[in-house]
Amino acid sequence: MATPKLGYLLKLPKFDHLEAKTIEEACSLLAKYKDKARVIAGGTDLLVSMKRREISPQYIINIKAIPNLDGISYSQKDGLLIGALTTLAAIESSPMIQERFPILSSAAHQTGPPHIRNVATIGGNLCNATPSADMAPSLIGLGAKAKIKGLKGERVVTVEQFFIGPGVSILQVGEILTEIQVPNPPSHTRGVYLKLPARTAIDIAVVGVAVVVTLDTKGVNIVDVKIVLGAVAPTPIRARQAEDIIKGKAADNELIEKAAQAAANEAKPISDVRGLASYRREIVKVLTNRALKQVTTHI
Amino acid sequence: MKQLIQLRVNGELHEVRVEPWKTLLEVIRDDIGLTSPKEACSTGECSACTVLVNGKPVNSCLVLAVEAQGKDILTIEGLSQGSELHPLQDAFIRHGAIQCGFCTPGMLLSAKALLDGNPKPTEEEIREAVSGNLCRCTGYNKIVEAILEVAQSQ
Amino acid sequence: MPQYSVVGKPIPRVDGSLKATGEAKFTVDIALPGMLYGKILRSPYPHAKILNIDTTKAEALPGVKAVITGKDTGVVRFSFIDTPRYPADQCPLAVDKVRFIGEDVAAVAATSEDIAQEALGLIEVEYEELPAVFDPEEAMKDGAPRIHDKITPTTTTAWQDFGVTREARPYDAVNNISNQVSITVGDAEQGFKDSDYVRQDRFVIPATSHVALEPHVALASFDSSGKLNVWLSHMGYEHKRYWLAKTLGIPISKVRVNKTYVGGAFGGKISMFPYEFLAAFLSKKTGRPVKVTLSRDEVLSTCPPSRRMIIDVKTGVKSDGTIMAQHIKIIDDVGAYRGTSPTALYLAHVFRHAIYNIPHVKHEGVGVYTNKLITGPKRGHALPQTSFAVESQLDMIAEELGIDPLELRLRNLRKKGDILPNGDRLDSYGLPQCLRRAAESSGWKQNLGKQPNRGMGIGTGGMFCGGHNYPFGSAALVKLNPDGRFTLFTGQTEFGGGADTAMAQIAAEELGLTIDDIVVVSGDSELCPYDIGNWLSGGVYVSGQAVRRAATDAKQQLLTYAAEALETKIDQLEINNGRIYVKADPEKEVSLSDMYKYGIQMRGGDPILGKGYTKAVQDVGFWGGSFKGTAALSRGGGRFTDAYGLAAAIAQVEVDKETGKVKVLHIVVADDCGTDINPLIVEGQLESQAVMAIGDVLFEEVATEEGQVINPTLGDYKIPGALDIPKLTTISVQDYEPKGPFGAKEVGETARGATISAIANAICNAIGARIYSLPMTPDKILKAMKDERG
Repeated sequence: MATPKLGYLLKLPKFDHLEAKTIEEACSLLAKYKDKARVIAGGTDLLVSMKRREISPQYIINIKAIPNLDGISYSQKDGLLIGALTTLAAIESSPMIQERFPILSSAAHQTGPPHIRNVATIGGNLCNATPSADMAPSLIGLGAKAKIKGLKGERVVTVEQFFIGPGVSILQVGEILTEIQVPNPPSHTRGVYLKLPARTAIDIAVVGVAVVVTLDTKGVNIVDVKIVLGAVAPTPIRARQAEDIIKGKAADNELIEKAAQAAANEAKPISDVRGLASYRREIVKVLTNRALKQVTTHI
Repeated sequence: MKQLIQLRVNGELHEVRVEPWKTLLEVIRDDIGLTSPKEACSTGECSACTVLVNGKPVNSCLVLAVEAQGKDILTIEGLSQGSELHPLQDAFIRHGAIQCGFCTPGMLLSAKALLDGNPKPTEEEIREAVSGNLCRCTGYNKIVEAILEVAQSQ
Repeated sequence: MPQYSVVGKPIPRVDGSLKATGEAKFTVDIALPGMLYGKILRSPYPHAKILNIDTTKAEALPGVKAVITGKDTGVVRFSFIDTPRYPADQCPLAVDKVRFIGEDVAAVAATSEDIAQEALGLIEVEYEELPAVFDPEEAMKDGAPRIHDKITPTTTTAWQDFGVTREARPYDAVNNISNQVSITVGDAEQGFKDSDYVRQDRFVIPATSHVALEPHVALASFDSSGKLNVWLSHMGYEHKRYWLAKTLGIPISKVRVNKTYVGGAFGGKISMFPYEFLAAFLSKKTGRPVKVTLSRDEVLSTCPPSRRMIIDVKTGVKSDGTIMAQHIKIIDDVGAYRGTSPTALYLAHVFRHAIYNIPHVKHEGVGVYTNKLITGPKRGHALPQTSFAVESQLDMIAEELGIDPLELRLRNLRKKGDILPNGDRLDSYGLPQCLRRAAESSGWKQNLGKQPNRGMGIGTGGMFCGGHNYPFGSAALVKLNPDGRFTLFTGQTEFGGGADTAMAQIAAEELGLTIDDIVVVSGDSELCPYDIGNWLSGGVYVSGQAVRRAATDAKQQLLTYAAEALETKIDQLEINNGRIYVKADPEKEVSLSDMYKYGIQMRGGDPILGKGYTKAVQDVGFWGGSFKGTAALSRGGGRFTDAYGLAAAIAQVEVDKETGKVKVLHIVVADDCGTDINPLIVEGQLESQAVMAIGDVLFEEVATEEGQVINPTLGDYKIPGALDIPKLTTISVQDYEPKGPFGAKEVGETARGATISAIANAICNAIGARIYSLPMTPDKILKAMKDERG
């Protein structure tokens, strides 16, 4: 007997829509209904999964009425603080982010078309935990952290730790992501996020590479480097062996080539309708190479 | 299960009874009766369902109607003033930017949102603004030309 | 080139404002009082017996008004092509077994879409899975799972209903072969012997989807008098009416297809679909209107995409590049049901044979059943696939012989005035100009081979202008109104191609009026006469001619009455701007409005109605058992069409050799459509096809695994967006076609095949390696470069 899979009809299943007015309320509802409940932020990922009947939560908890969950602020001491409900469009167009953290603005721009960016949130982008999440590589490259609140209090993890597996984040039952914290980068820090869209200009990444380097005062030696790969492993990953190859050294083409090859070896891509694993591995090398060259080129 | 909600569309307040799982697109089309936003993919991939919410273009197929209360919603029925066409509508017609017409409402609203915020966009910025609006008929160039003409004449 | 007042002008479309304001109604927008919503339950298996279907739970759900299965609808067969040799093989609901994932198995009509979906979930179907086969060459082998049992027609076939007096025979799909074609011109074997260089290559083209923005949708309403009203998303009402009437067992005169605007079609909405039949059947059963709207995912995974073809091309040439012989063998992977395969295999020859003068041709094809979704026509039908194969090989031949690819094409063109081997005439043939002007505009000589990462490529295409397929022709009527303006009745379908506007321009030009003086009534089968539709490439050439003749007929009546009223002779009169006046004495005039009154008052109530009609292919036909000049789908041997549209395209691309990503820099499309009825619309058609071709070559593919479409979403079936568009140059060559209305021919389909070939050739030119399949994805490009190096 075949159970009809009716996801092809693309209609939302029935659910109760609950509005949380505070973080505590949201956490309580999540703790109460457990896997029968999901948070709705922008809804651009959640509602699509529901229409396809990949998930059918009975309770949708709207957190958009909770105050102070969106917004961008910056201080020398705390760095950049982005509320989880901040839209990708707001991140992209923030003059302050464009000036101080241009890699984030660029990544936000590359997440999708304006209609999605106007509504999708940075929190959603992370909590959805797809391996190709466009905001993740650059956040990890900047050493960003995620503030999580639950009924027992709050905790802070790195964005790298936030991703557990495809579609699985570190959030436990009853927790929500409230804020992203990006520390002030040291001087002479440059970063770039290169995304190879799968087919058209606006598309899911077949590979995404973020490289953030801090150069010495002469701009020659790489004092610190983070190379983060997206869409080529179950989560966004740091290419630590690649980083070790160039950290502390002066970047030259040969070294960059070596690091890029190492990054390609560290990737764990799968083959899917958007690209073969072998092709993805090759592209990791190409994009890492290009990204490293871009951030180490003397202006 | 139905909730009574108020939606302000094209400057008019509508009271409708809807279930929480109804999208803004469905309610605008089926309950309010404005059929210009179209459902072409239901998953936010084509933007034929574009409406402006507080001036910003969004895919109404991915907005829950119950969450659209208290916002200003614009469809192209609200674009023309009586029988007078909006300059964008007029330009689209003259440039041959309309073929089957299914993507047209979404294109017009994306263009309007762009020009409201950026009156002198470059061609690249115009293409970015409609980058989510799929069109299978025109190949986009005439749409871009129409929007460019309106931008240059403002 | 004659000068016209309305024809040839870039007049804004007559439906432009309706679409710009949202007033234009598409079938998705229409709701009727008491309307029910229909949803379809589909097979999850590629090949399985249906053992039992239990609908009791679904029927008991409140709000459900009807649940139907194959037991209710029965063995009523339909198909795009239903001939005595190839009888229809598909039923709207699977009866004893399912043959592809997504096949229609049951349907529900309920008071809301939510309830309909819930009801589908309550239908219990017991399947027994059968071995399935997905590869056409595997399917043809002995021992492969048999997909179709012998089909014995239980009714007359469509061709017989259309007037072909032939006995229908049972069809036995041995080795899963659904149909075959074999067309011979000259002696290919001898031609190869006479060649200096012969090469053979195989090309593989996958299915691609149309992605018309309006999803497939049908609204059906039976009334108590037995009349069926339908609102569809389609390309011409004649086939819809015929099949709905036939399968529902009602007279065709009681089937009305109502006018709606259609949100794009591109060949994907032609013949009857199961969901249309089901909407009508459910309406009959419930006594209420029923609307069935397919979701995008449903369209992408169950509606026929374009044809999957494996094409072997063997071409023999002299050392100077003159083509002596060509042998084409096509394997058409039809999917679970035959669909248009007999037509497609035949058209693969028809479309290309007008292009090059190849003295010896053997054209063979076989349709093969597999357990995948059915395939169908898409903008050019078999032209894109065959062009890709032939034009790719021509570039390889050019390279081998050291000849410029452009020169090679020019050397082998036909000539205007040629009579083709089957008797078709090339009274217009603008292809040489297309090639030369495309070469000039693209900077062919300057740019070819100049930059390491760039490449250029050429492609050509040909297209008939209507063929002898039901309904075989078109008619039109024009009616004079009291204000001197005309109402035009034409069956043409407006799905974006500009038919309403083009027909109005033709009528206005003939009657000496402006476009505002013509009210167009189109696409309504009750009000409009029969029409060839907008899918046989005969919109302008055939229906446009019918419209012109209707206008001429009315004009003649007007002039006759004006001559009486002005007491002069017809040849003394001129008709222009709504007036008829004596040429030598223009003050002596009457208005058209006057003539309306005159006809009624002085000529017994005659309101002046103009009638025009034409057949698609003038000199062919059948009546009473005899056939004149018709071609058989399986072996050619007859006339195909009366005129050919032609196109050439040149593309320039840049390849990122590290990522395999292609950037299309420039596409030049040069098209010969005889006369631009509306240059703005012509440009739109050419730009449209160029952009569609980008998708075809770079990334579009309906990917399947074990019969399952694995990219049935617009997120994974991508089409070009506004940021993917290169520089586009369109050139309209306009080689006047004397038999077309004001010299016009088709324009909507030829350029796609030409541009696909051009882009493909450009990529291979850039990387110095040949890719034999589409799409040319980045990993294929990297692999081809690697293989070439190694």
